[in-house]
Amino acid sequence: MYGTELNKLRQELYMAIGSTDALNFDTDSKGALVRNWLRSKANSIEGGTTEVQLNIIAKRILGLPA
Amino acid sequence: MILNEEQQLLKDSAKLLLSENAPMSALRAMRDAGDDHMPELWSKMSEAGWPGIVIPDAYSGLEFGYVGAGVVLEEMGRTLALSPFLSSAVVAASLINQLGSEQQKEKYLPGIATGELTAVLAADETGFFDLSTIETTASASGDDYVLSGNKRGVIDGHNADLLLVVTGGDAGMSVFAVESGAEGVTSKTRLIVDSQRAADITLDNVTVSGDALLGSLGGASEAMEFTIDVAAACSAAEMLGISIETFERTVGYLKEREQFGSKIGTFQGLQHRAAQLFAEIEVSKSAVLAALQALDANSEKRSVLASMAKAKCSKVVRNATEEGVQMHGGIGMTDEFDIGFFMKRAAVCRQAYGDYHFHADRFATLRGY
Repeated sequence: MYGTELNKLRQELYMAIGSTDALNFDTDSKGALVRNWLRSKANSIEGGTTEVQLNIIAKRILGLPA
Repeated sequence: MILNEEQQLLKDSAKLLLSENAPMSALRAMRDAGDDHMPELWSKMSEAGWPGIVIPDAYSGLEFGYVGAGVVLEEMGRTLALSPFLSSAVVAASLINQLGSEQQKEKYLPGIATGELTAVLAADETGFFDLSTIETTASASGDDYVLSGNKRGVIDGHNADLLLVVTGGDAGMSVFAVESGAEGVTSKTRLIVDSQRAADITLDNVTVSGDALLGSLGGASEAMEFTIDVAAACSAAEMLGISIETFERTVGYLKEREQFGSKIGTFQGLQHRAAQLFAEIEVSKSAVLAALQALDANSEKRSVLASMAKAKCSKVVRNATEEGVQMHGGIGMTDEFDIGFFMKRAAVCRQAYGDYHFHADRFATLRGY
């Protein structure tokens, strides 16, 4: 959860620094920046969404009531 | 701050025209065919007179004003309609109207108003919108001028008939109307993430006649500031539309989707995020309308309000579209589902005509920080 959310922030930062060049969607490696940005959005969903991970932390680790 | 009757009617008719002619399926079809524009849509928009929305009546425009342009753009944001409306009919036309001589306005504006002629602002050189770093030069050669330089990431620059090239250097900031087919102009088109195109344009000793210079040599700064205001406020309107549509679809999903034995809309964590976004969008609506009204009134606050609207809406659209994907979970990240398309378009809108940082900085500078 922490890693995927941090990665989303990191990719957003790359996109901001990357200017309009970063918007490139070419199929070769030049388009990699935007593809990493897009992929990062999926990382926080697959394998258990961020929300589910937060629930697990809250209930199992912190012992907060259900 | 509400729309008057005419503006509301325009908004309603825009909603209708776009839902009939530019549904999401049209964008998908264009993308999958590898096309780079939607000619039928532009044709319908031209029939409705939209390309003339901000152009004065004297040059065949509707002279409806910037609130009109904004409501159309908001509806376009909602359907992700693709057209040269913002780049040509709103931004380029505004620059020509502000800076051009009577002859130049008569030469270019009627064509833009009917949709036959498209023009685009070619300013960015570093990939960031920054007028202070312009290195493209214009040197006088008799009555003509010779232009040399590079423009980068001109969105919609691939199909435009006319390039409004901003030059700098010793001569000061100037704008030249250069035909895209002129000798010495080469353009490299790249596919960008939302299926639009951006052009990197090289001007290699392009000779243009004296009457291609809009206004006077070195005299473009004030008109460019106005054009930034127009681009910012109107781009903010489009981002507002993207935010609203994404948000509505997401709230709808929260009400239907069941997981873990309940509708996911019952989860307080999601309710709070949705409610927060609701408040942000409401504030954005006010910011956009204030900026557009300030343009129509030619108020002295227009630059502050325009940059405020663009900065605010850049943040909100980023949030709305990211939440749109996240809250749709597994289907949200697929191509088959529409929500991702909003996020991709938002990325482009956020970059064009000055990103969040550019406008936050401009707002701060104008306010005296």
